[in-house]
Amino acid sequence: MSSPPIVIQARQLISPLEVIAPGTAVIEGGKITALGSRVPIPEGAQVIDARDRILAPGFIDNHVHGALGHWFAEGPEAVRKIARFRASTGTTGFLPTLGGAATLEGMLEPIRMVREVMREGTGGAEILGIHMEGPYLSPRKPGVNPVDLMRPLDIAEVEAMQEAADGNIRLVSVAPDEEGGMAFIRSLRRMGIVVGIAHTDTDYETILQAVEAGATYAIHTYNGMRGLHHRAPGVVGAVLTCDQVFAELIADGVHVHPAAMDILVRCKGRDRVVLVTDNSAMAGMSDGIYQGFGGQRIEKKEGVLRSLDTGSIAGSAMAFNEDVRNMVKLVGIPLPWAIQMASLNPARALGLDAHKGSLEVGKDADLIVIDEDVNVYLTMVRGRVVYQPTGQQVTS
Amino acid sequence: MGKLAIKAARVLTPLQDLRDAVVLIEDDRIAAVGRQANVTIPEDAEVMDFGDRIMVPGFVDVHNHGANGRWAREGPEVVKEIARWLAQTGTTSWLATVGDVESIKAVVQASREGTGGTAIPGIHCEGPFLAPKKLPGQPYREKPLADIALYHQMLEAGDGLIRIMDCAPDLPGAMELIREIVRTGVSASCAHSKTDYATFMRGVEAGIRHVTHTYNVMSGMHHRRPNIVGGVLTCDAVVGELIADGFHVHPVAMDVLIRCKGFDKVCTVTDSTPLAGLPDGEYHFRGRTVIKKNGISRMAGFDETQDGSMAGSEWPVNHDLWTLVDKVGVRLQDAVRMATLTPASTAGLAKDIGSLEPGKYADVAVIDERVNVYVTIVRGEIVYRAESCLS
Repeated sequence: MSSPPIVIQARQLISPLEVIAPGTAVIEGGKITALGSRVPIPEGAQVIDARDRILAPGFIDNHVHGALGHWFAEGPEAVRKIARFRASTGTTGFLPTLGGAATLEGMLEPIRMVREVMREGTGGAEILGIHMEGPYLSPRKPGVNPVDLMRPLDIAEVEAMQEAADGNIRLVSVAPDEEGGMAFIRSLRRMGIVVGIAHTDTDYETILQAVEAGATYAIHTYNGMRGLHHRAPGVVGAVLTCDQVFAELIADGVHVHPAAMDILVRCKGRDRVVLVTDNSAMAGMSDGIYQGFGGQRIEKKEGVLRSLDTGSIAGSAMAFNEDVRNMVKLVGIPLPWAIQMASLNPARALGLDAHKGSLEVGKDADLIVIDEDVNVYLTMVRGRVVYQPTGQQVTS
Repeated sequence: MGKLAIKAARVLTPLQDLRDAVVLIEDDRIAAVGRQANVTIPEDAEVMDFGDRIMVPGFVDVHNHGANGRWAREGPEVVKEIARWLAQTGTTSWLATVGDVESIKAVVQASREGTGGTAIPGIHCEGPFLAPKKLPGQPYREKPLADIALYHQMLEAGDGLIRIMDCAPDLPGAMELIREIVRTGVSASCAHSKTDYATFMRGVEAGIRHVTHTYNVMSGMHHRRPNIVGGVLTCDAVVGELIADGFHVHPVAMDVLIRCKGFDKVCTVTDSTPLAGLPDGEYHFRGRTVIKKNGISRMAGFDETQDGSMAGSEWPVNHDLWTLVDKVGVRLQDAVRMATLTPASTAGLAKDIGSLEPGKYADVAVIDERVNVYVTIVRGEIVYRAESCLS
């Protein structure tokens, strides 16, 4: 017996390509079956009254390492805890982001584990695939990634990972200036994996070659990459001006100054900026000193993470809905743009936009109810409510 | 002068792209612009047909120190000589760029007497309110005072012609001077400074509306310290100059500037020096040796990656526009806009120049797709005609 249709009535529906006010969505069988301002309510439907709120697609986080003191690699329970936490920040889909390990088997084990959780479901935000940020990075721009876990570019390894993941490795971060970089990128593209330019201290020309080889994505733009100089445009110059490249942005206001966030939006436009949290295990935790990758000591202070060993910023701890809010408050872009950068753009970058990323008839009912300040009141994944704040009704 | 009707296959006004168009000129002003089918040419008008060529507003160069072996500071006759040389580049309005009272007086005299070439509707003062460049091996110099009394001497010498006044926002007294520049009706420009984002933005609050050669001799953008470049890229209140010769700023960085600010907030300038128009070689100016090689001039002995070591640009404006089209991928119409209407606006002269519109001065350049210049008309008079010109 199938469950009854769900109807959500909102003050405003941000699709995000159009704004419908008032907006109603009808959900049946986990999918959106009708949208509009005047939609008939099917008989027997369960009605969610959000007529003081905004209905938007759920956020998709292509770059996240953990939350609530846990890293994904710890095991299935950690993955589920993190996934449920993500749902509370308006996220409906994400790529658990795994890193390098001392051995190939050390990398395959967490991949198999995540694949298994993906099959069984998380009870929170949905796992849309895996992002490997590492081991194919440059030791010259490591960030907080341990240099001793970086490995030579080896497509046979990736094939083993993809087999372990059952085809669910969607995104691999690559420093294209490492030996064999261009051939590696071409092979990843042939395997259907999105290539993200990451952690690289190389020049503009090398990035253009990487884009020609098939890279379409830039990992946390500005961070871990050579900057823009007016006579040597560097990695940043290439990302800002190559329109085929989707550019990740950590919009916590700390990793990238608001003026530099603005520059990225001005150069790339509303269709090519992808907001990501790059959240570490310290997301959702109180201030203090924590254990980071490779035993580094990480201090969390006023939401900012810093490695006590190197002094460098060590991932972000800001919730996704706060990042979206920052785009409106710090950069001054309209809310529909900010939502698009956190939903449709990440889905498009991964090639998942046939079913994900926007409120459209036929797509999965992955959606959120928020207010103007991007506070989250309800998170729904494939038609199932996975988050509602305690003691809060959807309507105010 | 009477009536003149000039026809061409294309006119970039630059706000419109008109095909088979005509510009009607009466004396020194434009009387009408439109498609030939719509504009009645008076019977008593002289008619010239430039065939397949493109008519555009004459170029407005708001930052140019001289050309063909000569500085604008060398006296009124030299200023006129430079103005006549500039006519062949399609430039019809030149803000002669100088930095001292005597030079200002000389430019004023040349402007009033007429040059026989490019008009001089204003002056851009690049100096003396600049932060000293810190190049290795150069003696340390203190930042000069942003001296309001000195500014008033210059303003008086300029007799209403000073349109742009440079001031580094980190000089002592800079904010007061910027406010005074604005109060006296001149455009305040941020120039030659390595200060930070916050200081630049305070300067904008004080009234900065123009930025001298964006990226060059300026603190660069870092993603956590945006500096002046980050301020210019994101602040819509200011127009940024761009030396578009392809050497001062990499085409990708030009692209970034244009993406961030748009065609109405980026103006091309030549920053031309006497080496423009001269062959490669070693030249000596005021005790400095400058080496010109492959179109770039650099102060002798400096590392070529060092910002501030280039000694101005040596390329004419039409070359720069072709660089924008060819290397950056800008449409010709938009490149023309950045060299005409945008600089005219930032200099406060758009009422009279910068576009082909009725009532404005009849300042016209006849070019081709590669921005070769065939004819230059200043205030209704032909001041330059290439030998290869059709008519």
